[in-house]
Amino acid sequence: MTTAVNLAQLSAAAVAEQAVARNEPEWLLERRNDAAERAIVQAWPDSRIDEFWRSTPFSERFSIDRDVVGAGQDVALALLSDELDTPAATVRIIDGTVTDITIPMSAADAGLVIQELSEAAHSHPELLREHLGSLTTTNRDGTGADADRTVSVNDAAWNAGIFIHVPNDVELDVPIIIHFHANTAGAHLPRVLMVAGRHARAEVVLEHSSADIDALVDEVIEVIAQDGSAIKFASLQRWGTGIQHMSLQKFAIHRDADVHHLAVNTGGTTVRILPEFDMVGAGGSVRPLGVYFADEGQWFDMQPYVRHIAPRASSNVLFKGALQGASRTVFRGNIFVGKDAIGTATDENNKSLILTDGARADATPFLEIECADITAGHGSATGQIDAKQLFYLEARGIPRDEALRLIVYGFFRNVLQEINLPGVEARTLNDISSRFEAIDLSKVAINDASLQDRDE
Amino acid sequence: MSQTEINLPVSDARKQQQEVAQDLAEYKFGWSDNDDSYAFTSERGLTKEAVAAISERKNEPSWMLDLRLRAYEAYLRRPMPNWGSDLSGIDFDNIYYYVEASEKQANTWEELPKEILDTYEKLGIPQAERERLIAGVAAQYESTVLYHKVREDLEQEGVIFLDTDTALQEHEDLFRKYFATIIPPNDNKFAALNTAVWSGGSFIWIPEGVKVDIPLQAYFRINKQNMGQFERTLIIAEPGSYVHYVEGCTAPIYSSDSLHSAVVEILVKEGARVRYTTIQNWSNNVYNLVTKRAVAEKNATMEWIDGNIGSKVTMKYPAVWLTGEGAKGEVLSVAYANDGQHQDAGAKMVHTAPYTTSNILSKSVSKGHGRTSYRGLVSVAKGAHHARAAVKCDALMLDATSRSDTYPYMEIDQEDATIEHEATVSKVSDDQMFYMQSRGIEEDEATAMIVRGFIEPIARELPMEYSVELNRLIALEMEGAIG
Amino acid sequence: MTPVIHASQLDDATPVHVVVDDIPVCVVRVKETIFAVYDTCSHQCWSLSDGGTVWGESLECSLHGATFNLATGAAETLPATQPIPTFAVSIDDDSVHVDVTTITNGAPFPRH
Repeated sequence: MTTAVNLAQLSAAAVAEQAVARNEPEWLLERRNDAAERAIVQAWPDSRIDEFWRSTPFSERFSIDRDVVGAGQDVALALLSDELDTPAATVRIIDGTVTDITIPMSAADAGLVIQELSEAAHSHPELLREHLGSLTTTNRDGTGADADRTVSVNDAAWNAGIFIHVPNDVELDVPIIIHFHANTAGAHLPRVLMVAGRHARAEVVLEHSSADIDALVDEVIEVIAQDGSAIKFASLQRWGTGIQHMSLQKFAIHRDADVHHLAVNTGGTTVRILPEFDMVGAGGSVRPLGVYFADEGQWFDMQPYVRHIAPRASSNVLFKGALQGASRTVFRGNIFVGKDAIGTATDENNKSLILTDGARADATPFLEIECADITAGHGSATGQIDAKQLFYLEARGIPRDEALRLIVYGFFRNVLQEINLPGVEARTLNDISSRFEAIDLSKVAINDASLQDRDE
Repeated sequence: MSQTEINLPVSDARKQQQEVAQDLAEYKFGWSDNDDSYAFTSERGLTKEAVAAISERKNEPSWMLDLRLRAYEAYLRRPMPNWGSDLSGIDFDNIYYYVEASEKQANTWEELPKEILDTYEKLGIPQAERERLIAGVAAQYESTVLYHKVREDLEQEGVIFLDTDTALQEHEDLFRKYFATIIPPNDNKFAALNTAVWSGGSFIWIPEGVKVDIPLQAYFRINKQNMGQFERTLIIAEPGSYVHYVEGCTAPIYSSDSLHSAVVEILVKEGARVRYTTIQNWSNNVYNLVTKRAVAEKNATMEWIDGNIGSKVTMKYPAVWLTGEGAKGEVLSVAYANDGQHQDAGAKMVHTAPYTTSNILSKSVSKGHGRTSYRGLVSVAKGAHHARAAVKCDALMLDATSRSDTYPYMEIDQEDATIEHEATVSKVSDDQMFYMQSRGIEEDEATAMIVRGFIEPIARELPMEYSVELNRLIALEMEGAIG
Repeated sequence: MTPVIHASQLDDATPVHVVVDDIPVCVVRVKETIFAVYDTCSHQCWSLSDGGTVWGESLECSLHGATFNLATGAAETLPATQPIPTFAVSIDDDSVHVDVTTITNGAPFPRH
């Protein structure tokens, strides 16, 4: 038995003990040790001081005094991959254990690698040494995230890590579906490193689920999109009640690479997702998308961050959320355009639909621009179901409740269809409908300001 | 190949602009007067004793001294803001916190010391008064208001327009009821500093139903090096009244920095309307850190028109708290930043009552190494049903080295609120420039025309002479940077 | 009524944080009078006893300077616009009792 790693009292010795038990190489032990030492001297986020935590009070929404859950046992799960009628490469992680990795023959022959990170540290040391932690530790462009203790802690103590490598010029004919399931209370530290080689093409769906347990999931995902690669990546947060989830999902987008990313929040108690995109190569493009549906007691914080460092890259952020009951959503978008990013084209939009009384939506779509030779715009809108739209549907004989559903699904559907990843649209709309239909639809707010004079 | 010089005829407009540009290649208001003959100058730096000394010199009631000391403690406790501009250049120990240039306030311009009168003549203030473009004038020089005059008919209607120190002496009860209730002493570090050492500013009370047809004007001048100016303005508009208050600000250019940290509190009661216009043209060695907040009660309207052209750093976010049903708030903000300047400006709209509406329009222009930031908040509290808010921020970047940021915050706690935000960032396009140049308009002139067009939606809201002044300032800034 | 502290332990004009039935309470003695108010500012989620200062019978929040009347809970200055709940207090010998079920000013708990 090894000593459990406690997040609040992180010790480099306990971290090392776990890593040795997983037979990790010396260089990886050193990195973990550096990260542990960094984490120990850092303070936990303080929402009064730290701008990135301003809208979500860290100390109230996250509890960190937990032991990291190591071993996990296989349980029966309703997997997305089982519902598809097409083959897929699949990974199943339960608590701290990778329980299954299956790669279809065609993809394996093409060169797709999916391995546990600890194993890949031996089989692909050069790729891991170059890329693991390259987006979380301060690098030459100054875009590291290691100033945040929640990230340093994962750098030090991640377990059940997954490594995905799509070699140069490989266009996968199957999607990769990763299923992470938390079944035990405590702290979970999942980690994914994906390297897509030059002109590689891949689709990834990361599905999170859990029992209704009190657990913290502190996750880090790094994706390297090398020159000319094309990646679609969706992260579904379908947690049970009680989960506190924070996830840094960071992409380095090299020359002419194209990334579509989608974050979907429907489950969990507190979910804070940071989809970050460093445009480090000329001509790259990114489409960060978000869909979230917050219900009673849920708190979702979505923070897409695009850093335009290289010239002629483009980004177009679109996040759409709906809220019902006493729920809270935060959209904190940030687009930074550095002085060398000539010819950048960027746009950033957030739309919130407040369905019933008691919900609160914060929106902060930021732009920081150091280079004039670009086009940039952003917008945000918070409103309700449009009375005119409802009237239009009802006038065509559609019952009111059905019309409300159509409007809410229609609000999200274009985002889900745009990324068009297998199973994502159906699963998400299904999750949203089970929540939306559980409430009293007569309480849904309709914006009738346009039809009704306030002096009436 | 030999080079041939071609002399094209220069247009009159162009020639005129060149002349003006030559005149004003430097900041136009950058002269300074001798300060040897000042009536009173505090020691540099700030202590509890210095705060007490200001109160004593002003012969204030004890409650005001208590409030100043309370604010001084809050000022010491509060950390510097860790967002916005770089404020590390402020040397608080090197600042003069209270300076009287003259002991007594003048009723006629001629009573002022000659140097000071010359300053105001150069700024054109007495002339504006003579031409009856303004209904009252307050002219603050360093810490105190040296000239004050209000049109007699307004006085007869009961309008109170006084410098804030005199108002405390003459209308203590009215003063105490409102002072520091809209911006509490511990609101932020600079509001605390102002509350501790405030001096001067305007106190305005408009009786019920009285509409002041032409603007009241205040002019703020810093003359002394390392001066700190901390004026305090309090405006109360009784139900159904109207007033337009206009302030302008300038200072000499010095190699070391000055600090201007004002607090402005405004209460707009039922059905009243207040418009507050600022054209800030401080020299580029002034840190301008100002807290401005208004409360708009039922069906009241508050409008801030905020022009930030000068200063080294400005951090200013005029706010309207819409606390009464049907209240309206508007901020029109124009900012211009050239080399060495950071304009971190914006607005805050806090909706706490039903049927409230707010509108923010921000236009910023950055040039050279200048940086403009829009920072704004729209918040809709629970219960503020049918609130509507719209925010529009447009940034124009004139050079590759300029920087422009947009930091909008929206906090919506009410299900039927309608909030919209949009922002654009643009530069002068090659197409625009080509089009204008092909019609014989030269580059600087074309740029100035584009900038004028860009800020026109705000410029047209200014009193005519200010609109002209703003356009002229912008044109000169375009020109002055050449060569 | 729950005993929370001894009156003799309360310094004049110095807020003290106690918890009664999971509800944060700020207890303040001003001369001979003891007040108990809900220990969270109505403006933003911040404990009034954490750095808060007492001026006469007013309590100033250390975050943005909002000031509340200790007797009535009323917001006296912006940025607060809503009152904070005030609780019934009784003194038995030296023991200060607070009843968090009796909100004497009827103010709702601020929602943050």
